[in-house]
Amino acid sequence: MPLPASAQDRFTALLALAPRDDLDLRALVEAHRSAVLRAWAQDPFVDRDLAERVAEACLALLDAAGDHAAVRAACLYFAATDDAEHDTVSVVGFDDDAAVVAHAATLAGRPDLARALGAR
Amino acid sequence: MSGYAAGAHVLIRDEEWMVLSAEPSAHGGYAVRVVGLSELVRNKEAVFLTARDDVLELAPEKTALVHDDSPRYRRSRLYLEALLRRSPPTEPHLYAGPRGAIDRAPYQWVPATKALEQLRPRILMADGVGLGKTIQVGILLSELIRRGRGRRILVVALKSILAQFQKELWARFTIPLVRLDSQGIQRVQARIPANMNPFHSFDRVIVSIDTLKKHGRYRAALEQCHWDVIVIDECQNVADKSRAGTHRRSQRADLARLLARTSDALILTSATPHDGRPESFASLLNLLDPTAVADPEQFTKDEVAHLYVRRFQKDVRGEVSGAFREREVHLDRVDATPEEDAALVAIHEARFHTLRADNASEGALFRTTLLKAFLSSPLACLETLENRRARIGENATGEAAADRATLDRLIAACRAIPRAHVSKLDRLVAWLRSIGWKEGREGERVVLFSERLATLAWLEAELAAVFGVAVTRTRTSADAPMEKGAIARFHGGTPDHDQYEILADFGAADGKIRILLCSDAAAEGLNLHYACHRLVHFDVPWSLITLEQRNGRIDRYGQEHRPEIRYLLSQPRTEALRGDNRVLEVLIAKETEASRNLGDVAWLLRLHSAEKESERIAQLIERGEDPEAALASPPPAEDDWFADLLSLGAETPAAPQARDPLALYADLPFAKDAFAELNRADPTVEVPEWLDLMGGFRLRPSKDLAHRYGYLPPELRKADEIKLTVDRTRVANALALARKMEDRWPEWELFWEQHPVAEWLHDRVLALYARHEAPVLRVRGLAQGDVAWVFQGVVSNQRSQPLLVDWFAVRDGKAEPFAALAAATGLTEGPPNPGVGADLAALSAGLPAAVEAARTHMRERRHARDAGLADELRAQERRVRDWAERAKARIGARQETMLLPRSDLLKRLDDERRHVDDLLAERRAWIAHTLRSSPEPYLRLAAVLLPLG
Repeated sequence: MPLPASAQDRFTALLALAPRDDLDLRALVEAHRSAVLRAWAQDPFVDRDLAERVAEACLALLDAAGDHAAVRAACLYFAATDDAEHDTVSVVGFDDDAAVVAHAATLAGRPDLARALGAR
Repeated sequence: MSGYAAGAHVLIRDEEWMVLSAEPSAHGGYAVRVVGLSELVRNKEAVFLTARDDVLELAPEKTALVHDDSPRYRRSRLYLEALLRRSPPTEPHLYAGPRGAIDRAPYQWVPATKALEQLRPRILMADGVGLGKTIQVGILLSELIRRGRGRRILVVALKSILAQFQKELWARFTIPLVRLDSQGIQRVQARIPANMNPFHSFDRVIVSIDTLKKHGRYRAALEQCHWDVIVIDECQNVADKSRAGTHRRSQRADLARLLARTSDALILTSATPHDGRPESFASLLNLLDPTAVADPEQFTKDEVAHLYVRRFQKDVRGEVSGAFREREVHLDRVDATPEEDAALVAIHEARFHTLRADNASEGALFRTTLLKAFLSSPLACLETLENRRARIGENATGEAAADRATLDRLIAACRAIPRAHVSKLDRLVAWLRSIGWKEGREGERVVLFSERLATLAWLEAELAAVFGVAVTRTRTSADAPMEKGAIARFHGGTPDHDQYEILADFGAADGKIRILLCSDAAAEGLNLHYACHRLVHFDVPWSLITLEQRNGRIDRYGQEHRPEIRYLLSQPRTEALRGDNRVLEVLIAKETEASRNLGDVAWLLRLHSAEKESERIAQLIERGEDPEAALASPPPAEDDWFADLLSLGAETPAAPQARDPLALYADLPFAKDAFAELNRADPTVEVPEWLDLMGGFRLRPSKDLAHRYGYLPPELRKADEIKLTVDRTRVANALALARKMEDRWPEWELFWEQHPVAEWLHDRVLALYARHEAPVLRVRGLAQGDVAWVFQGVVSNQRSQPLLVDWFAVRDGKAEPFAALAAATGLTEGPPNPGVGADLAALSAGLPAAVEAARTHMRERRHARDAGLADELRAQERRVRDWAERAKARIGARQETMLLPRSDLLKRLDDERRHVDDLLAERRAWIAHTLRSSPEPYLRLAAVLLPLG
């Protein structure tokens, strides 16, 4: 699955950061998921459902291929709020996250997770 | 936390505002950004520093409870009713429009329903000729006004129909539009300093596109204005007609793009919304939604169906049987006189070496131009010949000299035809005599069309001479009166005020004008069916589209008589020349057939433009083609996606629903109680004379009401008395009568919530209680110990427009719908007032808890509303993103096909990419301002209900 052009630069930068051992990616993903839920309680335009699916995909990828640089970069991408589409300002704030994580899933040999996120 | 929550209502400098945001200020305290709510400051944004200004939060917890001692709680019920009437509905059902002074015709509700279903109400009303588009516009405008989204309205229409449009919208929907025609502009210039924006002085305006084009001041002023709604009538005139690859848009198209950007809602109307090219249709759709069509040369119905409605008489006839009458068509073939025949032969035999048609659309041959002019009248032909002759001059040599000689021969042939004895004129006179035409009150009204001004001028003179009647003379100066006679000419060059006066007189029962001689400038938009049902085509336009437009002036919704349409065709004696007439007869037959069965006449020839059709007919005549075969409709190609998209019309929504708004009063009882109560409180408020048999009243405006009337368009101001009724039939009859009385406005005005008198009453009634007061009533249907706190809850957007309004009561900490409670407690009938008070201080102690419960209820409703909207919004965002990707891909493809990339072309493509990004950004900003709700709902405690005893 191709990476959306708007997310390309950020994802490339995160690939350089991803190998760091001190990053607790699972905690970052969970924290972001919680933050999104809180934001949704205030503003239902936040795409909570897709955020949930992306978070689940991230956790599944960390279980399956936690060492894969693309997976780690994708988790970092998800955990950032102000990415190509601002997660809590844009009504489609997780479309780019879903595309990035699906891309990583494909690279990590989990096309089933990519499909589950849907091609947006 | 500042204590000024977004969405809260505050009082600053004695005006009411809604808080948008509050930030700590460098001057201490907070900078509170607000948008105005009360009349003086409505929609104005401002920032106040709490260090400098007192900012008083209108917290519902602080509402003062007061007793109501009026009989049957009249005062409280009026107050509640006025609040209800000011509560904008937020569902797509129709609450106001269908209650205008119109017949019940649900097909006319469809465009409003479709527009209100959109996130942004924008629609192209593209019904065929004569289905009542003005009424459909009035319905949607009324709905938008009811929703608080129609305060500022701009209508752009053809100059010939400004007065007609203004009158219809006032009479049927009491929407007052200030008419900026030539006189209106003079008034504005006299009243408003040159450096002031005239559009800031008027909230509701009707103006012609040519006025906006001509007057630079108006165009510049428009750029600085925001409108709630813009209506562009006959919008085909603003469609982008530039060809693919060219970038020269007309001034009108540019102006339309500017207008589309300055308004929230946009209504376009046209019976001919395209010229056969998808690009022209796409240009109109792109005015409605610039992100609707990525590729103007290829788009699908799915992409655009939500943006337009297109039906024809045949589609709606079943729904409104009787509103359309079967037309009666007469084809008068008149034998040409010998002199006419000789001239026709001469034209056919003429050969020119240097002369071509001025306009390619008239056909390549000058001879064809002459034939067309002759078929209008010998005088029209003579005019053309003499103009050409003058241009050649006396010094021409060679082929030009030969052409001059030919022209001289033809001029002689035309001059040989006696002006007073032209075959079609003789037939016209005979027919007029056969119907007993005469001047004066008893005279039949006839409208006659011709393409040529020379023909109209000649007919005017000859008919006046034959019948011994006077002709109408337009004004020689703005102050001079018009001299009216039984015959008048109406064409594009007639000044706008003369046009209005001619049309008003033609429709007036005691008007003098009985024959209206029209050019095709009168073929679009004019309602002549109220005045007459007889139409004569003195010449036959070489276009089905023009034919349909002409016939549509009398053959339209609401025509009470059978439309009688008469075609005059001069039949040459020379058999060989009759082929030209045959072509025209086939055209007539096709238009007649299409009006019965097909709908869109433009699909018959598939040329979609009057000019192109005329060009095709000219070609056909020049080549001597068989008209039956040549004018046979080409079969639709299987891949003709555009024909498919338009010939089927856009899918209409399920049956539109009209609902009555929640109310405690009907209109007339409301007026009666309101005047009685206001008079009780202030004896200077005069009670009107009630005219129960007429369902209305006669009112002498009080000083403050008269002051309000001073802001209405001058045509609507009533100096002494106003007659209002709730009887729609009476209003419609008054409108019909007004059309028959020259320059008169309907005697009866519709009394409903939109009328200025009703609006004045609402304001006065709301002032019966001070700001932040709520009445306490004792009613049946409540158990002992029950307290029902009645709230109006409003969730607004960043522009203070209501997104969600809910009327509910809090009882035992739970919210319940007010509508059911109002019925159960007898509020709708007026419960008896037992005069038993209550301990208001003790009651007030329960208010904070009730407010908290109300707040929770509204927060839940807001959350549910936003959650319900989010999926649709997301789908739209994704669609727009796809659109942007496709639009950019298309730009990229064009760049790739450049053999030699020129810097200017590359710059243009970059500009187009930027434009796509700008549109995306604009759309997001619009979503942020319009669809996102303020976090804190506004709550008003409207009343407190206690049990009897």
